[in-house]
Amino acid sequence: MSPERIPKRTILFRSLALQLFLNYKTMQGAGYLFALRPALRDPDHLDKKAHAAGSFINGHPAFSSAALGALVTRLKTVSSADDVQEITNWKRELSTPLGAIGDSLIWERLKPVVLALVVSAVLVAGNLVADVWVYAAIGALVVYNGALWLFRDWAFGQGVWLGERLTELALHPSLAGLKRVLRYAGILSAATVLAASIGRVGDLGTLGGAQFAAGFAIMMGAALLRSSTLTAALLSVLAAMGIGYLFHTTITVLP
Amino acid sequence: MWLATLAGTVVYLDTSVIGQTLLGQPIIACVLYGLLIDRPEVGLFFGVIFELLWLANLQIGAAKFSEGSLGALIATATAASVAPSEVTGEPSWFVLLLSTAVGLIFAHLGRELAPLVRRSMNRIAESYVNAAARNDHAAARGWTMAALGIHGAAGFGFTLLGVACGHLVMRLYFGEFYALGPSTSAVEATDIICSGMWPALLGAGAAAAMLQLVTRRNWIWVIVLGLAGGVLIR
Repeated sequence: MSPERIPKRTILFRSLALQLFLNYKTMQGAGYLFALRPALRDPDHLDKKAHAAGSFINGHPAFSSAALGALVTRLKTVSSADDVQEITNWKRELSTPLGAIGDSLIWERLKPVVLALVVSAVLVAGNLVADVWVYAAIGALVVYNGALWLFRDWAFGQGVWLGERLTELALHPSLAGLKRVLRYAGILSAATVLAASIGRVGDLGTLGGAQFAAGFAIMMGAALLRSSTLTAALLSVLAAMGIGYLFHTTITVLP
Repeated sequence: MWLATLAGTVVYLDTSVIGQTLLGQPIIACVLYGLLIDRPEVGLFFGVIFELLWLANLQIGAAKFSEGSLGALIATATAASVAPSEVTGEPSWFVLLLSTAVGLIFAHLGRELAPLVRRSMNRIAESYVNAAARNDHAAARGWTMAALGIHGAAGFGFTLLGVACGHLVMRLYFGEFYALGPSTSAVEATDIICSGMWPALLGAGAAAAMLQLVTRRNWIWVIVLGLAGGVLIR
């Protein structure tokens, strides 16, 4: 199959369901096979190709497009049990870089940055909150999904081109640049959330400020002590109620 | 309750299974649900709070993760099942507090949902690969639908349980006619103390955002920029 005849768009579209068969034995393996089936029309050695495509792998769904591209190339040569084993081992080795790079760039940066900016916009919107939310939500969906689709398209092409040498993609200079940009975007968006929250709580006076500070401190402490979000949130609410009770009691007691 | 359950199913499918487009994130899904039932203020409240709290919620590999998005939707549906307070014309803070607690608890309980689904998927994934290897299109399609069905049932069942528990909590506290809203005396007695949850959870959420997005050595810059920006916004 020549690169021109690879049903790239169909594979990429089906790869949106990469997590459909996520399981503890082969993780995304069956999802890979689901995405790659349009490229497995040739009945020769189909059983071996299917088992090679469905073997263990786990990575970030968007970064997996690179592995899908490389697999399209590699599966063409599968004809024996040794080939299946070789591809199975290769996929297992790919899991760590695919997961580590994808998770650190997308799950840990791009996704929270986009969502934090939407929340900030809603918090500062005031009376225009409904209009702002509509534009912010649509903007976030378009920017996030558009960027990821373009990335999937590019990564798939890189995978087809690199084939067995796919791990070289981790050294691509644009990834280092992207990581730097997302790091600064993270700092800015976290500062924006903090500023928007303080601006919002500012109207509540000293009491609101104290309750905000208590919630902030409890979440920081919970993170340092590795407590759950549930614990931190419930403790924040209890602290706020305690502060509110003390504040109002003081006002009542004083003449 | 059924609309909330349907919305929960869509949220679960988007966050864990298909697309992962952000459509299922609290700040989008809760507000959309709020608009659908004509209570956008409730959707915005829980959308902001749960989005920030679970910004650091990473659905990575085999790790367990809290179902923050489902928890947010359960909280929204629970709070929206009670009419606004007659005193303020807005949701009573005590109703919001109870709904937040229900949502937080179900978000945490949701940690067990993904492992349960993944274990049940072991056999289905294997059967799908075998069907594809035999070039049996009908069987492969059948196993695909089975996988989709299990995910759908997980999202549907979990949300239904959460929303039903939310209704039960409201009924236990406010009585049979809880949907009509809390009494004036209940609102006046509780609002003053319970309203503190908004700034406190906002503070916790702002800290969660900083913890997720910024390395420790840059925290100081975020705090300085945030304080300066906050003063300017005011």
